[in-house]
Amino acid sequence: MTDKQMKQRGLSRRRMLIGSGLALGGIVAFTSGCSLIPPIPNSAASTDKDAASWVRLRPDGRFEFLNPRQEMGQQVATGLRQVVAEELGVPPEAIDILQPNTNQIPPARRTAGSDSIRLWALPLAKASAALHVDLGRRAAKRLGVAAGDLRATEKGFSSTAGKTITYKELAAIEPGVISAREIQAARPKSLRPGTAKRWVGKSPPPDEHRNIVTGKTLYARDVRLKNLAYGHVFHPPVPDAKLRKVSGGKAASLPGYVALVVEKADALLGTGAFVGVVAETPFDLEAIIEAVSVTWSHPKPIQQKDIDKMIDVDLALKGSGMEHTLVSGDVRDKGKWDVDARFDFPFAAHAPMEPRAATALVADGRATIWTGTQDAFFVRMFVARVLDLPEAKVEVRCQRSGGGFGGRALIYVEPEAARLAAKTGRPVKVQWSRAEEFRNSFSRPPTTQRVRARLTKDSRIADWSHAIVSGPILYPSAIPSWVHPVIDLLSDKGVSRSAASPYQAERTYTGFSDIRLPIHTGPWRSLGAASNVFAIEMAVSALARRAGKDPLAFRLANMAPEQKRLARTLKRVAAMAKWDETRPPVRSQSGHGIACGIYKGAYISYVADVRIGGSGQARVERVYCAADCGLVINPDLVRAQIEGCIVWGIGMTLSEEFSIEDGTPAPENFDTYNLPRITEIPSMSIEMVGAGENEPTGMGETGMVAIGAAIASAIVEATGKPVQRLPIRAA
Amino acid sequence: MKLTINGKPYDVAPKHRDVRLLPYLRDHLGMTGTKFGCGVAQCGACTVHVDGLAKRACQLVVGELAGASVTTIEGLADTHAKGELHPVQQAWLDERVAQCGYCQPGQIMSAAALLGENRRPDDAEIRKFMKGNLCRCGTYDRIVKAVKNAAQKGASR
Repeated sequence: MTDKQMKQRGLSRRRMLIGSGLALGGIVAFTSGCSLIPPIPNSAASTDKDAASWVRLRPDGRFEFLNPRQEMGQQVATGLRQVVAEELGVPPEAIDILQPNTNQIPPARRTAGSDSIRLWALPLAKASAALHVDLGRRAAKRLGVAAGDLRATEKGFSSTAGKTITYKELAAIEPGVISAREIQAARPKSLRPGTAKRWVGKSPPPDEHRNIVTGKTLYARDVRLKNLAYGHVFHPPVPDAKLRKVSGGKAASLPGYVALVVEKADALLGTGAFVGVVAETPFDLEAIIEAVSVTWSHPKPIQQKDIDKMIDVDLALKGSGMEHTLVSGDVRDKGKWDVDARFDFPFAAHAPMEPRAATALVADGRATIWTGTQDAFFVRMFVARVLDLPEAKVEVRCQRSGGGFGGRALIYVEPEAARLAAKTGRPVKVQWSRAEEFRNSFSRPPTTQRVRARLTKDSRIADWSHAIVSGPILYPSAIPSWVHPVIDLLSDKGVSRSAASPYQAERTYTGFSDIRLPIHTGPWRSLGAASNVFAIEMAVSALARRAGKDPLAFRLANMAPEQKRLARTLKRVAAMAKWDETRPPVRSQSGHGIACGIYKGAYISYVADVRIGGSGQARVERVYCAADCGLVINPDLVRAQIEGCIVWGIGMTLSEEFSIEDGTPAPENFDTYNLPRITEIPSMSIEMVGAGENEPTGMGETGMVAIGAAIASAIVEATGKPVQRLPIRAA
Repeated sequence: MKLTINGKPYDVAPKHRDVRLLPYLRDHLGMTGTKFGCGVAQCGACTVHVDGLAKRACQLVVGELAGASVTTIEGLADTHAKGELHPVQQAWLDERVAQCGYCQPGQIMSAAALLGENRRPDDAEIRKFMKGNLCRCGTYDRIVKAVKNAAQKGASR
């Protein structure tokens, strides 16, 4: 039975599989680690033992930090280096940053989910502290003094009697080795809230900036090797198309022709048939691409209206309801709702400024891949499987990425370059065009949501019901289809991220369905959180209006008592924006909106001022933000992330969307996918709240929650019209 | 056919006269500071100066640049004073503009061209001139500040 037939008969695939008994066997295959399973990204957090290889004293007396996180604009190496500096008591400039290859450090999980500070700073701090203890012990021995008589300096150690030894001298004597036991015993001070710090909490300049402004930074597209050839891959028109025919035509006789490579589909890996060409230069490549003809066959391609139906929350609610429950409460379905609102969010693209590219060299049973990725070890695993090599024989060299935003968490271009390199014996670079980036990678899935709520007589929330239907995020469609029956049993926590309401209601229900789509979707900055919090906050503002209350006062009155940190950011942003004093009357063509949200242990509140222009298009004039991500390691980098999220919020709310035409994303370039431009940027006031009081969390995505609802609430106030779908077009 | 790039003369081979300046710089000459973002003059990542004016290298055909003087991000500093950064580059460091940094060579080339035409652009003039340069990380607020910073320090091309 096809999915469609099941849908028509109102059966959920999950229930079918449980009933048929297939599911359990599937789970065993999925988790047993046997070699037949497809490559699955490493999801384990790094350990203290792993951290031992991240920091070292080099023989030349300088410290080196091997950054286990990928660089894509968040500049995490700069912040993490401050942690190392704090523990070692040396200035950050005394520590060199190295972006390690996959054979230089133990496997580390993908760089995603705003986790790099939250989960990596502590093991790094412990390893650095352990290294410092070890160096002190050896310095004491060398100087013949008791460890207690030793004082650390920026250059090394000195004894109370005035004897000194530098790190350079120490390094010359013996290499420093730190054991996992020492790391476990370490008592790092750099992340402890509420203590004075020397380097943590400051904003030293990001380490790569000088190379960036002089054009010296090498991104994946900039990698050049001797004897480099240039490859192109013919992508299928839709993800599940079958290869029918390949004709090289006169390609082989054209100047610069190197090879035409055709490989069969691999169902186990989930890769389709592969057709690629290689040429001596990118100039030769164009004519060779033209000469080759590739024919595919596929069933009738899906259209946007089909997808709209698949993810229609109201159809789902009328049918079997939501597949998963996040918050279970006995909400009273009978009776009139005070708010009954639907919110629709379209497909959205990552659109990093660097379209993906990779260079591969495969020779003597070894492969080397140069790429910019969020998941270097997944690339290693995937390429090893594609080339049938042991993982130890594949090395991934990590270049700085020209933007990530979740878009480089999955694998596309690296195996393409690897296949072409393996077949030609030449180093081959594959660089995607902007059209390939839009149409052949993956995107934020669309979601539709319905929030229903009812007030008590004294303007509290009696019932709160939030239903979410979305395409998949953490279990993306790019996973091989034979694994789908298994992952369909799991609930996609990317879809439900930040969907639990921070407000107190007498009865709360939050449920969601993750619907597989025949379009590649996956993680996009903040996963489902930006949409989920948008729906929550718009509904709360609507409830406040219904109750005749100020939206700030209503929020504070209804916030769950444990959400003190969120409430504090709200109060702070209201004070920054002088919330009570400046609110204009409704429908004056200008409005103010307030909203707040939580993302993985970080809290944020926004006020947005919006004016409706002559064309009817809203313009965001000013944004105020108060945020709390616990201990702040580098305030300027945190601020930069919030600035970026404000711009993303403007895009998401006012311009970004695409639809599916004939089974593929419609846009090919920036003329049909509208990113915010410099003319649309408001002035921004950003403050951190409670920065020293709690453990550090993350800020790469937190800014995405609530900015959309602050802008949209301001538009509702300015126009008097409700908002039902994003982006909000000219009124 | 001759072309000057960053003050150095280049002899363009006949087979390269029909190619675009962007891949010529990046893939043939190995000058990768100028970036590919869209290929259709929608993003500004490939902005260079041709005889002092900001142009999109993805749209220029090498053969049509005979006798022209091209400046790329690699050569920008030398147009100002040897051994120092161009004031626009320095302002980019001062304001800590870059996140991923991929669009920034193009942003800097646009900003330097703007200040070559208009020594003291106001906020609206900066935004209007820089509108063709996309930044997905969202560094726009800092870009405006950096252009003002450079203008105050008297940047000229």
